[in-house]
Amino acid sequence: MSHLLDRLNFLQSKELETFSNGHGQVTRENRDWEDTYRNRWRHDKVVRSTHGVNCTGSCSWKIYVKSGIVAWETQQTGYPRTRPDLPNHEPRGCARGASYSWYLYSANRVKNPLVRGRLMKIWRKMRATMSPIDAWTKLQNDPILRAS
Amino acid sequence: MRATWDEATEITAAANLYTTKTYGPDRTFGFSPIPAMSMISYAAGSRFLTLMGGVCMSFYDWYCDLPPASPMIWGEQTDVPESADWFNAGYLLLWGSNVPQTRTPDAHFYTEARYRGTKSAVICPDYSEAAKFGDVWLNVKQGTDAALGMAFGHVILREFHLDRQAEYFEDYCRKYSDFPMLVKLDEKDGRLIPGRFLRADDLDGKLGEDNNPEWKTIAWDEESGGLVAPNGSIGYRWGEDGEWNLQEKAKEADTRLKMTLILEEDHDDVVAVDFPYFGGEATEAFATDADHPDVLTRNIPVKTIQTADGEVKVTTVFDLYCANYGLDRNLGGDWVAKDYDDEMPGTPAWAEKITGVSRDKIIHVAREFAQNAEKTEGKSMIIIGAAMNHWYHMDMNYRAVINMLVMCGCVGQSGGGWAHYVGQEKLRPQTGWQPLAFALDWGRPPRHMNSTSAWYAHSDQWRYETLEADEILSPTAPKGDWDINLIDYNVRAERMGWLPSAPQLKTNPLEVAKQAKAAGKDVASFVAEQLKSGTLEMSCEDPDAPENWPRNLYIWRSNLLGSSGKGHEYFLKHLLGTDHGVMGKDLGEEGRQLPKEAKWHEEGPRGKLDLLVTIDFRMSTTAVYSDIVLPTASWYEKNDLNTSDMHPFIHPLQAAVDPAYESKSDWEIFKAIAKKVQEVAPEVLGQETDIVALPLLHDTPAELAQDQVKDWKKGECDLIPGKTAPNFIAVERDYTQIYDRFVALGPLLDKLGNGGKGIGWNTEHEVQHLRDLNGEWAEGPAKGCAKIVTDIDATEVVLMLAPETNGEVAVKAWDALSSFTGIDHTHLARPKEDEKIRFRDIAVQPRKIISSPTWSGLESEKVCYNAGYTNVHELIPWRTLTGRQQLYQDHLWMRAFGEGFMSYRPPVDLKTITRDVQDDGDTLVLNFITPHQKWGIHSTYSDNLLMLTLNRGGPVVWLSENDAKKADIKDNDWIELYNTNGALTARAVVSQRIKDGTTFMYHAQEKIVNTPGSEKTGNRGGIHNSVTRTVLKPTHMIGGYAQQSYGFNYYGTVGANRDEFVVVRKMKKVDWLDEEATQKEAAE
Repeated sequence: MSHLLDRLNFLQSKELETFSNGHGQVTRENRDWEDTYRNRWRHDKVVRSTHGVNCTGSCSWKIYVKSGIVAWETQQTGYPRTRPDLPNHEPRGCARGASYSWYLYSANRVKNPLVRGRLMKIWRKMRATMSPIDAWTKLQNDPILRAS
Repeated sequence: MRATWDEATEITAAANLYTTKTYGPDRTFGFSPIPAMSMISYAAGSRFLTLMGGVCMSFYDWYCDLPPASPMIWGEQTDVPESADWFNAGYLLLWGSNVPQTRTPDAHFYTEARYRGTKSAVICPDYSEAAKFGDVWLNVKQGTDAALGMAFGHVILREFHLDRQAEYFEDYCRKYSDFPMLVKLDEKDGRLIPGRFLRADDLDGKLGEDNNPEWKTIAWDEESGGLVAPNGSIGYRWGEDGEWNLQEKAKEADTRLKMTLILEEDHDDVVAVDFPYFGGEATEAFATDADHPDVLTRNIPVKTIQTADGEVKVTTVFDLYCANYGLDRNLGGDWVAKDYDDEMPGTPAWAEKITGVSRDKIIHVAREFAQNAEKTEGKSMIIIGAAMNHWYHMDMNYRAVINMLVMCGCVGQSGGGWAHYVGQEKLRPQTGWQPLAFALDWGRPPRHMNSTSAWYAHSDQWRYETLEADEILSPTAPKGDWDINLIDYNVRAERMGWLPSAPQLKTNPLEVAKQAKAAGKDVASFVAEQLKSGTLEMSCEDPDAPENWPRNLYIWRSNLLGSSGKGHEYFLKHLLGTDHGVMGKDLGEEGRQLPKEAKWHEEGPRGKLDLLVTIDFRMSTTAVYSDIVLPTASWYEKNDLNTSDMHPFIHPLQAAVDPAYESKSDWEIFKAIAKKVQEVAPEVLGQETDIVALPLLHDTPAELAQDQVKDWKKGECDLIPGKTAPNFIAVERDYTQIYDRFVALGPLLDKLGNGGKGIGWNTEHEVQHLRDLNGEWAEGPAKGCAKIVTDIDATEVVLMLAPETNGEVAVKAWDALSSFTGIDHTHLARPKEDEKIRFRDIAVQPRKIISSPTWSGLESEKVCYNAGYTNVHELIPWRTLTGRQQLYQDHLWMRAFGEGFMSYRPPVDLKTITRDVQDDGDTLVLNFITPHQKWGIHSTYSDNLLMLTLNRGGPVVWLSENDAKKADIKDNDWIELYNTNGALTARAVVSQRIKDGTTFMYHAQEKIVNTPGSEKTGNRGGIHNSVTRTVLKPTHMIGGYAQQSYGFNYYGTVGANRDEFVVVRKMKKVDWLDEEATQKEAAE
């Protein structure tokens, strides 16, 4: 229901129903805004992954995907159990791992192949007339080009 | 600037092929660390490089995470308990490991162990997060841990081995340590010094040992009352079956080995033996007022025996060992103590002066540690980080610790032992992964290089070497040609086949192979002849010659220039040829001794690399310095495998979403490069024969190559490939089939089988399974081979071939080991014979690995994974000379450098704060320590906004309140640190946590975030490694000698960096070096 129609309520009773001895009240205003909170943690799927960061933690994580985007991660809790009298392995994880998804869409992400400007320009120019091997050979044999 | 995938891979392919054709395939290097964190991504690059003939660079040693003490004592790279086993300990000693901060996911086991009643002592100079967990905190002076360890050992020996012999300890040491082995005493200038282990070869008749008698050590047997060559020494490992085990036997008869000759009836004489003492050499920062000579002469009980060379005096390792710890055993003589308060090297009173830890605390902790171990049969554990391993004399720190554990019978017992945690080095399915990663399915051997020596040579850090051999040589060194530079030792080591080389020969090996063919000779003898005549040269002899430069470098899964690159500024100056902050002068300019083996060029070359290609998902410091940056999939965008030493599981990385933007997984990137190479190659290269130089490898018969040190170049022996020099092996390559081979499991696995760590097995069954599972190529050069097209295909190869993830292979592997030991070990895997773990299994839940002989621990329902467990409980020898945990090291170079036994060696003097570099008024000089941080894992996360927000938002350096006051520095001030190596800038954290005299800079904080210009260099401030430089240690170069033989990431030089000092000052002006882009730049 649109907000406009919601407001066309002149003919309705202004009396609001109460409950719990007047401590509670049933309102009739639009509550769509609450969906923001409901959707905040709603997600399409959870995929198991981890962080390849040379960390002995080697923790397994739940990766939450929402509308094709990685939204956040939380620690896995489903490791195989240990035997009696030995604590379980989980919880495993730390604040560093929990912040990884920031990288995926950050300004620091490498988004496409990059080549040093001077090299790229020289290469494109040479490749217009030369084969790849000839182009690289010429580039290496010229001390100025090599240093550029 | 932005490029297409086609352009970027074409430049790369052209550069690689040009380099291969012009200089040789081994001028293309690849650096990528720690496969365990993403095995397939690592394997992608290493598989490509190996098919090309390129060089795979090691990492564990370069990071200085490799503790050389481990291969020395156990013949094992590193093997440790999983963190769950902390819970089983009765006494936990945390030594330089900050568990809550740097082992966060495992710290709960420490807490839980404390609740269970486990006692804990914490040793670290700073008031760390871990210090708060301890029942007692020993705030040792940084860099003096070996002195503390020696005093602990002194107390343990006195109270549990000498005044009273704890039965469990004695029994354990007799069976599992080299204590009973006999050592010859050598004469030098009329004095006696400990020499080599007595071997069967020394004795008349060789005790009937025809096979490898020079590699069988000898002990005195109480049962037979004579000399025996006990089972298990390395001579039994190769060339015969069934006696390489730790049963108390020799020649099938029961034995009881004598540990000491102390009793009157057991020795013929008591003689004076010299031991080196290094404690007096301390620099000002570590000096005490104690005054001891550099040689300590102590009395030892000896037996005189007849050898083939006449009479010699022998004694046991244990008798020498006790003397080395300074214990008075009523044998008279000097330099031994009865009283802990005697300030004699080795005692708690002596250690108190050096370490600052009170003698009472030392005695108390040593006693409790050993008491617990005695009562629980070995459940005392030492958790140790890389901190102590980053000192130049790391072996002394680590051996001090390991000695304690062996003396108390803790190694190989659940809840006990050596818990050395560094990086994620444990690649559990290693033997399944190796064929994929090093293309062993297509050609053998791969080119492996030890990075520390390579970067030392190629970034020209050797040209600035300030440490001279005589500063570290022992006063008791046997006579020899020791007066050479550190790089010269490395040249010799490469020449004798001890260490690998990259590049290998100055002449392109593809050309050498052609010449050999033309001469009608096999490559090994052709190369040997040419090397002897001097027509061919090894590259190591002239690292600065243009023919010997590394020309192409791939860096992937790594931030070499922003994190691990010790001597960062030298990399920039010489390898890259860019702006740098090196302020010191080279040996030529300084007029110091020039190298004798390595050729000196007046001018150090700048810009050796032609092309630097970095593959990363983020714009790291390394990426910023690269010619080409390729965008890779993040850890949530690719499929891969992950294991650790901290838990027994194998679990995946998975593509939760497709790679964002134009990124691709590493597997796909190297496929794309391989495809491009295959396309471009026919212009210059086709089928070629390559010659690979292979050093004398550990866990192969070549580890018995050199029981004596002889250099062919000096005419001391003939050059015999694979014996007195590296082996030279022809490997066939086809540059027009690089891609075709990359995506197919080649024929050699069927033909040669698979294996690792000295054992091998037939694997045809697994290869067939992979054909069935992944499909096979119907046509083309790989017809009939299993496909490895996708990253998941690649994971299946690893999982299928590895004993840890395929029970059938595990049984085969244990069976293969059984024929060496003569003991049936297959019961360890039989219950899991039908278990096969696949990628989809671990996608559902992490899986525990299956026990395998690749490792020394078991994973079962009865015990947690713990190192050395199968040595103790299955009687499998340690892979050392004696077959036991070897606390005495008898190689000539070990004795020459005074490290036959452990002793305290103060940090070395690197002389990097010179009068030239130190500005007037800058008086604060501090020891530069680089521990792991709280807001990052290495450099990753240190540029992550969330982590930056939790700390100061950029690089920081920690100072003590007292030191800060001296230089008028307040908390959060901008400060600059410098020495001749370079300079860095950061904010100061002034804290009571830090011990006076030190400064902490958390390692690997990216310089791309919030780093202002340095006033000293005029460039942007550096990273932590801007003030360090690699310094090699000759004892790490030893090869062809049992456990001291090369293995990739197993042995070799390590990148120590903790002996460094820096000048610290407040910055006058903070300059961000920011300027507007010019119009031209903006337009681009």
